[in-house]
Amino acid sequence: MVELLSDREQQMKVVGLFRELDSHINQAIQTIYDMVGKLQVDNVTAMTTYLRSGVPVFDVMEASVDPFDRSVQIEGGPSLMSDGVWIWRNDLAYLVERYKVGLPDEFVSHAMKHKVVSGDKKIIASKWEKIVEAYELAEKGIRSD
Amino acid sequence: MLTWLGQAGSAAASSVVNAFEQTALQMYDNAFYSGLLGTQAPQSALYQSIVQNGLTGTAQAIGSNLINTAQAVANGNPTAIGSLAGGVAVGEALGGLTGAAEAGVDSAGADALASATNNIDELGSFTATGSQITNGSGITVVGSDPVSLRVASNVAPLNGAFDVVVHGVPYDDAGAVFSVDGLPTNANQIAEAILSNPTWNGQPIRLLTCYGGCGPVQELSDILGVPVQGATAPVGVPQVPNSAPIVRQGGQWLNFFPTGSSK
Repeated sequence: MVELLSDREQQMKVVGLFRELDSHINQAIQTIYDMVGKLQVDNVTAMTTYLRSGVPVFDVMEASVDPFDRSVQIEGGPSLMSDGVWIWRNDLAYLVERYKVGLPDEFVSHAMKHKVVSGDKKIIASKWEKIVEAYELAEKGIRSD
Repeated sequence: MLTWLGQAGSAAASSVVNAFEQTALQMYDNAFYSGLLGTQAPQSALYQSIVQNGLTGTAQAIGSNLINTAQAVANGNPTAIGSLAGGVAVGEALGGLTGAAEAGVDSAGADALASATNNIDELGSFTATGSQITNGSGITVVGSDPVSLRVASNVAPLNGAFDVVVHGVPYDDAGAVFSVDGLPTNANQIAEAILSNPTWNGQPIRLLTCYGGCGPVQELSDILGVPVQGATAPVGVPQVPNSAPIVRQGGQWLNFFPTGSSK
């Protein structure tokens, strides 16, 4: 019961999803080209540190391609990471670091507050089905909450 | 059997798993911070701690120093060999360092490590382009990125099949290619990696490669002369031990047979 309430209260949200990252992503979703350079330079290190401290939840054997440089492949880019509340792709840290792509203010505040993901890795990883489901809904342009 | 992690073998199984993972991730971070390869770091707990404390410069210095040491090892510098604690080489980034990797290691605990890590127990060799091949009992991993290593550790074996873990990337609407350490890689190199594993005895292969069923799988089947199973869409494995691989986006597993065979 506690777990159900917790899940309901902590609805998972996908951050950093852009239409160019996969041909299956709803093309109505925001384009990365509108977000390049939108992250404050002072926040780049903090954001990449937080993103890279995420818990690997679902590892995908696909190399994603840098939307701005097709010669660059990011191993396991579509893999999913999470902090138990937010969900993001493994390649988001690369895109933030290299292109300073903008992120929602809510996520930036969250990451600045926590600095690194500190939740129980096993508990977060155990929610992989819910996390994959939320991500797939987001790919279709449907919010999971 | 190459047992570069043998020193950890007497520890509890969980510690061995963690040591294996962290060492592999540190090797990746070493290469990343020395500027040799990779796009996403830090991956290891050690480097994460360094960077989170604002010491990215330190991470770069450590990575560069280790790479320089490894290069010295490759050149036969005995002092450098001695400085590689436990014989753990950062040779993944350099290629041709398997001899150094073997120096100073023992075999105690290799079997424990093998069972604890889903039979991923040794650095096998390197592809012609210098990418790391990691061989275990019934499984070969091509590439050194953390995602591949985690998939190899977590995937549940398929009875009677030999697993091959290597990334794939779509190149057009119908096809895909292998991708190793960020570079397109042909099926011949993957076949050579499989042949380097002494535990592959001609059994059918399960290709843990996204879009593997869209081109690469048939080529691999023809080269090796055995049935190969590949997915028509992205393949993922949860970060939960002994998990079955999942084909996403409505894809499926398909079996391919050598061209001209009677199946």
